[in-house]
Amino acid sequence: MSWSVDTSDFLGSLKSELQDMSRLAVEDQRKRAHRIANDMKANAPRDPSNPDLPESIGVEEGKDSRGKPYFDVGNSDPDAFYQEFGTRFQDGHPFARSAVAKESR
Amino acid sequence: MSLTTGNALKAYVESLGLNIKAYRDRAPEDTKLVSLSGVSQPYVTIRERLALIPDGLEDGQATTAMEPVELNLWQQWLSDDRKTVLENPVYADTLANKLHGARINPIGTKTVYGVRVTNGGLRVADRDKNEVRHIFSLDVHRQI
Repeated sequence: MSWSVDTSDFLGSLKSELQDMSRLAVEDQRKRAHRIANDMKANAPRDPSNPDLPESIGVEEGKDSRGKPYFDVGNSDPDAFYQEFGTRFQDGHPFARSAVAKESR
Repeated sequence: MSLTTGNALKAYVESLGLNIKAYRDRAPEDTKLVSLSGVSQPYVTIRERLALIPDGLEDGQATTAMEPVELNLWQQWLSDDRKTVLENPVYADTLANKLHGARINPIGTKTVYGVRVTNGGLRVADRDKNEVRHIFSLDVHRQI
């Protein structure tokens, strides 16, 4: 007597489930990146001399050299570093690190 | 006993024997990085509570948290005549070494379990202002 087990349905479903999980994980990361960016925008200093800082914050999506997706939260304003970290005699306004810290747990 | 995270870290940094003063938030306006005789006078500033992230609930209460803190080491880069390097890299390395895993004073009645250095000193040199800054990112694990 011999037994044979047909695993084709199982393996087909497994592949589909893994793809679905991967898609959900990417979507989760995308949402997290946008939450950080939105939090940064909300907390960014409203400096009359640099009103464009909040609008310079955004999320860049792409794929790394191995084809893995990434989400890069950042801004294009060169003044943002000094707003975030301050200078020796000017207080910083840490709008970025607080946003990242909230998402670190 | 210190009443704030910044003061607890200030006490710790000043106890390290580096002859470095530490200030909460920022140094007084007239603070110089070099003495009148040309000797380097680095100092540290501490910006506390960039956030406060409670750990998971235990028995229905949040009892512990992680507090990200920024610590800056300020040094004059070159002598006033720009012929001699005044920056001493030993300070940044020593601070990173001594801060990572440090047990600092309680904050009020709250225990501090430890300090973790998450970035050991981003170096920012400002040629125009002739100053060098090392930015440390710390996680302070503490009771709340």
